[in-house]
Amino acid sequence: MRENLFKLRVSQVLKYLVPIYLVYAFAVILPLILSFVYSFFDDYGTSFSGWAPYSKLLQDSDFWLSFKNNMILVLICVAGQVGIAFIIASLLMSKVLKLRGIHRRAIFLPVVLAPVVTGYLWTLFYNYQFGILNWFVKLFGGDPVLWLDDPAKAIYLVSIPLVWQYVGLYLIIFLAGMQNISKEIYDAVEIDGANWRQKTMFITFPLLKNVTQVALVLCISGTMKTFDHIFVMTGGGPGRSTMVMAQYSYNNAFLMTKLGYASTVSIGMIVLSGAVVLLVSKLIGGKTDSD
Amino acid sequence: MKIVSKRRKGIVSKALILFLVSAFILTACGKSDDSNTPSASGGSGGGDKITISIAHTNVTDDPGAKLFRETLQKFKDAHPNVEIREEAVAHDLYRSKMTTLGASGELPDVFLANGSMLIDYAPKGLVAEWDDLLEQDKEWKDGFLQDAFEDFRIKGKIYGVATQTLSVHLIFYNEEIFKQVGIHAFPETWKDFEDAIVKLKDAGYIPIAMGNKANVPVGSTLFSTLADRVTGTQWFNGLTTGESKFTDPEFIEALKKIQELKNIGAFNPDINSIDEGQRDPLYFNKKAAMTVSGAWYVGNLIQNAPEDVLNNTKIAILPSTGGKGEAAAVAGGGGWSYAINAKLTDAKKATAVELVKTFTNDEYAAAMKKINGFPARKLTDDGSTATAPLTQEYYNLMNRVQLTPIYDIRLAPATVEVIYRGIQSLLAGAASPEDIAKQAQDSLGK
Amino acid sequence: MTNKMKIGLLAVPANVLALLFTITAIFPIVWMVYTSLKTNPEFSLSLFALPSQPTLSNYENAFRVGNLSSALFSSVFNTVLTIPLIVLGSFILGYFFARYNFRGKTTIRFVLLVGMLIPIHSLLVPLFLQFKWFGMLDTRFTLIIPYVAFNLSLTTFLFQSFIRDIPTEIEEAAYIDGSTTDYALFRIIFPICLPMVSTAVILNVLHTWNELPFAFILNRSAELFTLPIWLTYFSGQYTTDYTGKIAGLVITSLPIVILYLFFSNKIMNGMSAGAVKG
Repeated sequence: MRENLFKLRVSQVLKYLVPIYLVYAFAVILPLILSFVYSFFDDYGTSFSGWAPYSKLLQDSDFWLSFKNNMILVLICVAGQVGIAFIIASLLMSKVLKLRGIHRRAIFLPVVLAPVVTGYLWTLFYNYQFGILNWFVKLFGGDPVLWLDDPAKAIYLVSIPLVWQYVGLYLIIFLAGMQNISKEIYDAVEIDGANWRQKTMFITFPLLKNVTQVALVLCISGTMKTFDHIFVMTGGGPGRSTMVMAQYSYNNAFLMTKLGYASTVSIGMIVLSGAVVLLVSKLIGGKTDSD
Repeated sequence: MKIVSKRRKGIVSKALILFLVSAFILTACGKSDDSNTPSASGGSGGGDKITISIAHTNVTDDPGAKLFRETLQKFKDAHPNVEIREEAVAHDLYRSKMTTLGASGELPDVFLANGSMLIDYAPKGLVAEWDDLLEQDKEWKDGFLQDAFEDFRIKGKIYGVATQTLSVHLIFYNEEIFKQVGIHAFPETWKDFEDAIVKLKDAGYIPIAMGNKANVPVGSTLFSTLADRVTGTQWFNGLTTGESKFTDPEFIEALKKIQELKNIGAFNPDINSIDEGQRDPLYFNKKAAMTVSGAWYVGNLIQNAPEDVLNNTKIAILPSTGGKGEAAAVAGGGGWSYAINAKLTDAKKATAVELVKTFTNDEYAAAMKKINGFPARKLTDDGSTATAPLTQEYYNLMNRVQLTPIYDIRLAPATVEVIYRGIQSLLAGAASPEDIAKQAQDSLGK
Repeated sequence: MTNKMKIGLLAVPANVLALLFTITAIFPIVWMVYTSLKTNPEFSLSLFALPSQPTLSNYENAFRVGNLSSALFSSVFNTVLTIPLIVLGSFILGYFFARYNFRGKTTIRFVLLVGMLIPIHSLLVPLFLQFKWFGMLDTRFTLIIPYVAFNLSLTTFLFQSFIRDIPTEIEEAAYIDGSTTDYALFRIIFPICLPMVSTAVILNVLHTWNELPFAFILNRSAELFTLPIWLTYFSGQYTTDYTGKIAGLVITSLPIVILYLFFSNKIMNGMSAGAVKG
């Protein structure tokens, strides 16, 4: 019976799906196709060059460095944003935390700030002379640390504001998702003597699988195209140490006016990001998400 | 926002479709005059209405931007048959906007362009030459400062009229701190300069505070001048003809000088992670003895620096390095200019030229100077009578130095990106002068 | 009562960490507010100190920079028009993805996923060209379609994941009773989705409110410029009015913070009805 009820009818396709997809196709797909065509042109977009830009991209060490940086950020953000949000969400659902109402509201506040504000503020936190972090370091008798100036650690440091800003986003996604878990289930296991960890592991987590999956997709795709924070915090520097793919494409387009190559970079970036997202959702989701 | 949460019946989806369709239609029909590209309404002259589009960055609240807007308004009032269409965005967004317009064949009729944009536009035939137009109005032409057009000259032709002429390199130093560590005059040789740096550092001061996060400050305000000291201007001019290369020993030597400064601890250790705004507390709190910036910093100091810091601040320039360049020279020039679209003809072109002249005549220049701007024109008031001592000092300096190329204005943007980013790496200890030189040469694609 | 002890052991570090996070989360807003009461000379002496003589001059100035009220109107206009469209469109797509199985679903879902992977800047030139061809540049409605389209993907996936966890029994019963799709969508499922609707509203308001690249590329007329563009007016080529800009940030963030606090109550009210009690 269910099969018949949820069988898509032509009238539904026409009424619901087609109009929405038309808008989407017009503003997203069509320009993307244009960009794709552009990506086969030479640096300055003046003449068609076939696959040459792509073979250049494959050998472009700056691009692959950016990709590597993006992957580092993805790993940190998945663990940080989604992981921390999940823990906080499950804590908020238990009795462990005090001041739950305040936490819940406050942790989302950074999400409200524009990324450029977050980026700028964190440069002040990281500031060598006046920054809050070094103030703490000095408080505990340490020597002030050069944070963002060290090319070796800069990429890890710029990831922290990213995590900090978006924990709240995944937190409310989880909290909204948790509403589907009925109170009865919790009450039942509580009577059986389950503790917070057990509740989280055996009830919350499995029931939030769908939400977690979508949170991961959002997190990975968002981090793969991250731009504003890093643009404001380091501009990709020192040198190229925090360059990410989106900024590399932006620099090519608007700093060096190589619009053709910038498109090649963007397409390369979309392909790589798509591959990572699909891979991850296959790994964690099995059949549910990709069918 | 309540609309969303209200429960609705089937009308919702119909409303949705209607909404989207109407959004399309409204957007598409909202403006009918959009086909008004520069070529479409090319001037046939006569009593017809002429539309001139102009792109600029004068949107802020500062006096210079206000002067521009007021003058534009006066022009509008005086020319009722001319309709001015503005493409005005802040400086930070301007380059992206212009790149998009340029790539779409939508360049405005008149627009602000810096030297490096013209390097991009001129070979594509997007901008008109000014040479003949300048010749036609000798008085206007001869009123410009000597080097005013150098930044906008490509293969001998002039493509832009300077909006200003200023030095991008000045060393602002706190004389009190210098005296305190036993330096009684600003060093005149490279060795003395380095000795002074070491002395200042040993006394616990940051010798030179800079905020190089954007990688342009060091490249533009320090390196352009330092490089010229070492290589000489002739070497730089040889780059376009291929007579000189970035891999030449002179250029590598210039990069090594920056590295040398870094190695003796001349800069604040966090130079690459702070912006120029975060540099100010270092100089304003007397933690730093010097800072390097351009002419605009004079105004910033007067406005924002504590009084004792301002009173003790003097202006100097880099001493000779013993290289091929002049010691009485600083990187500087117009940087930005007014360019006109190559598509313009007849009456429309004449109107565009008139508009540009409005912003580059003596009257406008005098008004600029009054509000601490740096006009590109010779004026009877040479600035030596300016009220603020620091401004006076600036103009006195400008009267005895010549201007040398600013790298980010005269070189192709891709090359600038490689050199400036490279210098940032150099300062972070993550690149060698030789590598940067090689990458810079490669970026020329020759 | 080992349970209680375990909770106690966990509670201390958990509370301390949560409290730290909360403080860092609130600090930026506090910093913005008090810094906006400083003058630039004061700010350039110390980036963190409290204002010695609080002044409202930055706020008075803010009304002289550009045209704040028209920017505010444009931002509100775009937001009010796009959010219902995004939420409705995404809700509908999310519903069909969650409930229906059909040929090509994987493909069209993937097409939607691609929208989340595109770096916005790479589409500026193509989109500008396209809007030029269609004569859609520089109007009140120009930004609506790109804003809807670019926010559709993320919101759809949120709705899909949420709807998938809702039991199908009620709809099945309704369908058997002859309910239309509209009825099932908007009378049965939509009310259950309200917490996710709140989330979707907040998220998309944020995106729309803070969006900059499309806003300044696709529009030319100053009266169509939005708040993020207005905020760029505080920096010139050589100088930045820092405290003025921060006052501007306070002005532009305020509506969003208030909106968030309003909607966070919606989520929380839903919470206490459906989930464990404190």
